Amino acid sequence: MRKRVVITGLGVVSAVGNNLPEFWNSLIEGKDGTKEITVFDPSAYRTKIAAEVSHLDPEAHFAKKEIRRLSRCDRFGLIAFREAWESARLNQDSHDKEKVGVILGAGSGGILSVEKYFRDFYQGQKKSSPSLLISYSLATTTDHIAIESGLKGPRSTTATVCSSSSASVGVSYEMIQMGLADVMVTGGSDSLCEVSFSGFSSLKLVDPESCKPFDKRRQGLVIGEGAGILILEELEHALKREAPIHAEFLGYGICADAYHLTAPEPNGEGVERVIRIALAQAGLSPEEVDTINAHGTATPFNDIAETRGIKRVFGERAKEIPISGIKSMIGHCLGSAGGIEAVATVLALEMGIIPPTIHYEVPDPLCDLNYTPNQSIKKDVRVALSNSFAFGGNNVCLVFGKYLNGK
Amino acid sequence: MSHRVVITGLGIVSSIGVGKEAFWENCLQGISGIKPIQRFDVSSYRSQLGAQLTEIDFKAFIKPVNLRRMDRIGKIVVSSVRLAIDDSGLNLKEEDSSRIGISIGTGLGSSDTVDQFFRSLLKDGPIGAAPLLFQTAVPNAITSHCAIEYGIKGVNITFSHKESSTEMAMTFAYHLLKEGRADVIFAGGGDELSEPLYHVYSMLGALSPGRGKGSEGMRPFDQDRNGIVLGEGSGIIVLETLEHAEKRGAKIYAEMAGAGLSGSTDGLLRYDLKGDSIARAMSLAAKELRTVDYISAAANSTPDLDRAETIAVKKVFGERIKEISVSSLKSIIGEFDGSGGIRVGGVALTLNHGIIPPTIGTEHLDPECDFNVVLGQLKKKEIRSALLNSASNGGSNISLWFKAYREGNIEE
Repeated sequence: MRKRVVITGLGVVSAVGNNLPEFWNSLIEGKDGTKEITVFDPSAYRTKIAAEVSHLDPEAHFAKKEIRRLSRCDRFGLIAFREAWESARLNQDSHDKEKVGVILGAGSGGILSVEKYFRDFYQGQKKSSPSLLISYSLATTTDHIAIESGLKGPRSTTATVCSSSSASVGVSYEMIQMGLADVMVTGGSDSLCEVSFSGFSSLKLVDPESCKPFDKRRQGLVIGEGAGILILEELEHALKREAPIHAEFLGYGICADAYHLTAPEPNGEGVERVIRIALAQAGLSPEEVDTINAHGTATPFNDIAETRGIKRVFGERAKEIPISGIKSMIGHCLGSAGGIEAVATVLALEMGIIPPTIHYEVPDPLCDLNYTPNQSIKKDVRVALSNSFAFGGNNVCLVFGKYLNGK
Repeated sequence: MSHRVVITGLGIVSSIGVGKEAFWENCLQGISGIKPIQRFDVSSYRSQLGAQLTEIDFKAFIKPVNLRRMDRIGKIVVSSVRLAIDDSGLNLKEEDSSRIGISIGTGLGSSDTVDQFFRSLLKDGPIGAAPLLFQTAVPNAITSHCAIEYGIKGVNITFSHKESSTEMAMTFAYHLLKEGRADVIFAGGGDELSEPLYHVYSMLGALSPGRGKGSEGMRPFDQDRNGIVLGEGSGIIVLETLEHAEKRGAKIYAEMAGAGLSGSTDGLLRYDLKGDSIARAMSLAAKELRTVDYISAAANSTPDLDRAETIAVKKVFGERIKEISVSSLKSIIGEFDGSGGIRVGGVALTLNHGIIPPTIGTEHLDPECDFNVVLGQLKKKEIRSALLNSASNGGSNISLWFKAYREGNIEE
């Protein structure tokens, strides 16, 4: 018998806001988080912009000596976690720590710290501390969060880059189904780093100006960073402590294109399959889906494949489903994209507002669905999907439902 | 409806042999893969040893045109999937590819490729960034290579969480198969002993001989143990629902029957110091503790983990500890995050053949580690069920439980 699982806490750090209210307000106002990169020197790159987190003072959140031990990725993760944990009231309500686990998605993790060490090392300077190398493992941010709050449930990290912190939500859901946890901290964190930035640039997947999902002029990603943390909780456990409930997690799908290392299968076959798997697990038909938070990276290929896949599932009705391409505002947050976008999807359900796809000016005949262009819309929505597709054709789709008392 | 999950194939690429036969034969003879490191220059390090793979002709497993886009760790893992498919007798063309999945764990994935990519960036700036390197440098490139190579279109996931990476991959696969959401999942993974990785481990003080006066070596449970010796390799287990296996008349090594997960919070690079979490993981995994006859240990020659695991085993089994045999395969293949795939392969072979490989390198058993460690020589023993332990420095503890499979086993 499947256990029902709800979302009782949300936390976020992003280019458009360093906490949930700021983030949500920016999204519904259509604010663009793109800015000139300061995390490393971008002058030698053609593209000098990213959706970088700004106005975040580490000393407002951590003691000075703590800051030295934490990578940028760790800091984002911890800040978002604390917000989610406290908003879920788990810092107050008693709970069995052995049944609270942490499974996060990671992208490059703390690699910015590792880059710093190896830059010095390879340039013959030995001034960087080996403690920077603690960030070598993608487990580090996950462990920091668990250790800070003494969480002794299941612990792991998913590593599927662009879909990592969506996959982590699915895996966390299974931990609750397996009876190994009542509460799971999930989502993910990621930070800008030169390796990722230069890698995507070298693949010519980066737009030098802005992220324009589904627009005919689109040229690719604006790399982003941040953290999106969700607290998943078994329903009975949540009701017993009268936890705040944002939405219900209904199911997910994971599958592969098995097509190419970086390009998606062009006809949307993988997209179609993953949405159908997710809906089947959620026990829903396509007719019941009210809105989709798209992967929408604004690469020439993804947006077409995603559009085709959505049409394959929803047929004629596809045109009636408002789609949000919020990477237009927060950038492609890589390892944290799934988590941050899941947070946005939950808020859309809770608030009844669909965030827009901004920078949308020139329609592409091959992308002819309703992408909620430039302005958010008010709409009472009951079922929302969040798509994340990664390199290698790893596809994840999460299904969230409005939580109705007693339903 | 809950499906039973069985192991129907093993694909092993190890420092003591490529393919399960070579691996097993050397394992049982207690032949170690640990030698002075050859593939890169370690003269400036205190630590000199590693369990490295010998030169492998990957063309025996993968078409040259496909080899070109893979890095070394990619080739290693893809080859182990090839071996697993062959061993299982599966004809993937006759299967529904959307019901075949892959679940991989790797601690540090393409560490060498990332390093190469970064050094080119340092040398030449952005124009030095090679796209063909980057696409194989991402953490899930290994999994993608496998999926593309064999047309695996079902569940596809990659985990990276230090020493419990592959065990998490196998846990997830096990759960999905139990739920009937796949017919077959290739689960496991691996890690490579690359030069940058070696440097990182050394700088973090993880490698034997550490800072003391003792000698370098991998000696689990030894009173003079002083750190790990790194290894490399890949192990892929073919996990399959029992119905699907029986339908195609597959050979069955063992049954996967449980997974237990628990987190310890002793500190960022610390193992579970008191052993409570490892104990909990074992108890959650093994539903019939009284049938556990063998434990494939997580012990890796570190002062903390070997002690903690001993405490945990005693806590869980109490008096029964006299009847349980313990062995650490890491003494043969070295310690590496992705070792669990090979180690589960070892457990499957132990259950199937009734032989436990020895722990080698250990000379003076730590009096605190007073249980039945199989030392120096193999031990013949019919095993009813076995536990495989994993524990990460940082606190992810995962135990997997396997039962001997005999034709006509009745579900209790």
